[in-house]
Amino acid sequence: MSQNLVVQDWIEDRGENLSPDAAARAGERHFFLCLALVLVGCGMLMVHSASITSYPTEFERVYLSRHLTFLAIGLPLAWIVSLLPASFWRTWAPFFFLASTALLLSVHIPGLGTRVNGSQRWIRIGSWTMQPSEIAKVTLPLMMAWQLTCPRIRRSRSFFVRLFLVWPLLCVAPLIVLQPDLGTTLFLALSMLIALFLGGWPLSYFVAATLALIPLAGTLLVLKPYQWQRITGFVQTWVDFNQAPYQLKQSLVSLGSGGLQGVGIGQGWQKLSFLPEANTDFVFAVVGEELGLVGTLGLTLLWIGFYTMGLRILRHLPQRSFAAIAGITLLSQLVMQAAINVAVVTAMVPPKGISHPFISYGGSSLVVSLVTVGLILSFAKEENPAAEIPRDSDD
Amino acid sequence: MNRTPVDEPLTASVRSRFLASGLVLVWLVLAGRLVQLQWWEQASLARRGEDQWSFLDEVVPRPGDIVDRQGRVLATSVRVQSVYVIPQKIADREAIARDLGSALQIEPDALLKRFADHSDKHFMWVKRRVNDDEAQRVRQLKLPAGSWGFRDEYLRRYPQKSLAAHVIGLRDIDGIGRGGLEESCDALLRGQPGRRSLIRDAHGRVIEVREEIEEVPQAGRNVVSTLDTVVQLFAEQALDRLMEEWKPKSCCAVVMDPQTFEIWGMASRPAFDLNRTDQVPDDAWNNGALTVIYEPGSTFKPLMVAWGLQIGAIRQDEMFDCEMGEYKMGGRTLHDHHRYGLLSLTDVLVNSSNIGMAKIGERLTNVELHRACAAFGMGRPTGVQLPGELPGLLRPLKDWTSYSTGSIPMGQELGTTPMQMIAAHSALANGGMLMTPQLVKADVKSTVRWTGDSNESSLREIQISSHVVDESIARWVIEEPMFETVQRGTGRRAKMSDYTVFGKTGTAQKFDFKTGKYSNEKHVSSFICGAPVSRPQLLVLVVVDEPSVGKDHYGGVIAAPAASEILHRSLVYRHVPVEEVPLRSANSEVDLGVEL
Repeated sequence: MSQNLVVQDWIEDRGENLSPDAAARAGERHFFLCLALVLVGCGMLMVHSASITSYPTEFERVYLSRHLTFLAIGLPLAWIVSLLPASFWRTWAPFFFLASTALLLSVHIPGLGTRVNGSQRWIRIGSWTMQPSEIAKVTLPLMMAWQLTCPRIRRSRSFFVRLFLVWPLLCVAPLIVLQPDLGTTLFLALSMLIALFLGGWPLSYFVAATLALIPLAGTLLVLKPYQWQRITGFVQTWVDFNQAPYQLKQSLVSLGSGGLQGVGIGQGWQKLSFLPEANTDFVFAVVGEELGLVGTLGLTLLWIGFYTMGLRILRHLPQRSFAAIAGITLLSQLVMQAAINVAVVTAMVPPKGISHPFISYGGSSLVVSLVTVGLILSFAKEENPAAEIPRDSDD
Repeated sequence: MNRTPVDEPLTASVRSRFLASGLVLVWLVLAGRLVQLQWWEQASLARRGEDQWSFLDEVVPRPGDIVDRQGRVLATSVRVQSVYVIPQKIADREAIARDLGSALQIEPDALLKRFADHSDKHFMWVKRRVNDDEAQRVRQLKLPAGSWGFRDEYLRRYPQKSLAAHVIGLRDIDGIGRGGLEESCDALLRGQPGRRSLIRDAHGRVIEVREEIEEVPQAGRNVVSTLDTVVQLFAEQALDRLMEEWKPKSCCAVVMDPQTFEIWGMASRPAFDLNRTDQVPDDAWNNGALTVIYEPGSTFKPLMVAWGLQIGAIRQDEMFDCEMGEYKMGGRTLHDHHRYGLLSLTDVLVNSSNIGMAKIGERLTNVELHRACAAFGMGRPTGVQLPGELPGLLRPLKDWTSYSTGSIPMGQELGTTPMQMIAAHSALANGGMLMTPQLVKADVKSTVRWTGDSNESSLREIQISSHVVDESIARWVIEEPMFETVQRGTGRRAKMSDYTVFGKTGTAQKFDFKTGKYSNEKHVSSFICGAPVSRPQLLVLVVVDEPSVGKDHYGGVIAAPAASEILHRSLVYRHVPVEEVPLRSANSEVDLGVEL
């Protein structure tokens, strides 16, 4: 029956056979989907615009066509993902996690892994490359939700069992740190903490984890002052602009150049050569220059809307169920990734290689973001058993 | 589906709400930051952006032409292309050095070395002002874009070649006037460079030219010189012949209209071709008319006589006892080349008697002699619109001795430039007004005057004129002694059958600093003449430094024929009406023009 409902949701939207409550939720899901598609549309536009350089070559157009190709892969995949029930994901979560760990491992196997710009992040299959650390962004939260909803673990009051919950991160983190990709590692850690937070990890553990970070930062400061300087370089944009890292300076200049209304889509100067990584990690700065404050605040509103709508379509799920934990974690993670990206672009946090979901160019990232939306939709469609029982009796 | 009992439902919902509001708060902070960057700090950030991608490029203005008083072109500019490279962007230096070297006929090794020396630079000239063939060859090389280019420049051309080279001067490869009118009128000629705004990318490549804020270059203004190419040519030709005949170290000629003080011609030898300045002997750069300092000798005498008449120290009808050629003056004995007894004032000048002039000097005294020198403009530049004019040498009165009383009236003990001498004589010729000589036509930009600073306000718009002697006195000096000098005196070789000519010869022994005495071999021979006597239209001065052929280097012999030739041809050219010349029989007593 559940399967039937799902299919109907996608095919026809009459809601005739549904309860008013379910019909309302279907409407909300569609709105959520629309917001996601608007983001995808903005992404297409910006990837095309931000890929143009001052020295136009045929190669620039490749970015848009590749982006569209990944969209063509990602959208059906996300649709299929959304059709599958939450129980399927719960059953297979450990398997997916182990598979992604294996992929992360294979990055380091000579012949399979590909080195780009000094980082070993990609797997090459034919002419396609894949970034397994992006896949971990989906599999890790699923794994965490699986663990947290495992009855035996739930019932256990043992300190060690609870501490043991972090093992999935300990599996993947070294593999990603070695790539090296500290940004994604920290991001995955953050995502795991969200899952643990939602899953009911005692608050004292979070305090302890925070305290544990202080000596770690201190060690870094003493042992690798250069690294520390790189991390804190963004502070210079507030103190002495001229001494600030080049990329951040250019990012802020791009945003400022846009002003209120922007210079117009496709007309930015900064992206042509001054702003590095204009179509990937710093695409938001291009949005700022070309669409101005109107564009950046519009995108901000879009993300807030996406988040609140996402929470809304998940709110009926029982607290601490697999679907609730996984769904909210995935949603928060996606919105948080966008927020961190904006924070980096506006020099609020140290620069990290974090792309802007949907907007930045990047095949794996786009597919994974779409799959994340598919998963959220899949969980959202999960009927609340607590609410189902009285409704069933009504019928 | 896992259906565990909800053990802590309240905490769980608080937690998810806490997370949600935390994340929304983060977005609100980011929105605030965006407002700060794109609203508050928008102006300063946008300026930083503009600073890095736009820059101003200078557009070279076309320099003005220099034309003569009839509009004949003396200096003009043509547009040519120059080849530059951006050494930073050159990938394969050897290949480019080889290709460019063969296209532009430059030694590839030398070019390669220059590439290496400038490897971190954004700009390097390869060859400036290439001709059309070379430009075409470079284009055909199809060198990698972004590493080289052409830039338009102006090439200065002087169609008259060496004619008036010293007056015109040069415009150097960077478009800056060096010497002559090119330097003194640089502010007018150079024009105002324009600006255009270019947009470049982070690699320094120009990606767009912004037309809308372009500042149009102001082409330089044309300068109309008072020179007349034909008169100038007469002077040049006369000097060429003189150089050949007498082989002097240098010589120069100035042609001036005494009524307006406009210079019609000014030539100097040795000369050079303005278009080929790579092999000019050092001494050829000098404009003799402004830089040769010589003792004027007898050409100075009429000035002193005029001053003496002006202050009433002597009279026109006075007779001077010339002591039969030997006169003791203090501890010094003066000699005339011929023995004269009583001579009229006119004849003192016609025969150029040193003793007669010494007696006039005694009447004037040092004070008045010094005033006379100053009044006729000695010891200071005339102010002609050319750079590098020397002020001559006039010692202060306190340094003068009793010797000076005898020396100054015969044009010794002071140094003058040819320019000063012709200016002083022009004052006599126009009725007593000494003015600033002019080289630039007043109708172009009123009257411009050289002030000695080539950078700013180098041209002053004034012509100073000062009254030196009364018109009647000036007229008398011209009509009587100076006319007679040509009629029957030392300047007979300048006599013409169709114009009444006045003039004065000068032969000065050069002071030899080695021996501390006046040399018997080295002379400066000069002759100044003008016509017609009734209203002088033109004045010509020829000064010859160290003629080396023959023994007798008299001004009347060496300089007079050249000066007379220039004068005559110029008068005919200017269509000055032909006159009746009184056929006064030459005084048989007159010597051959021997004088000191």
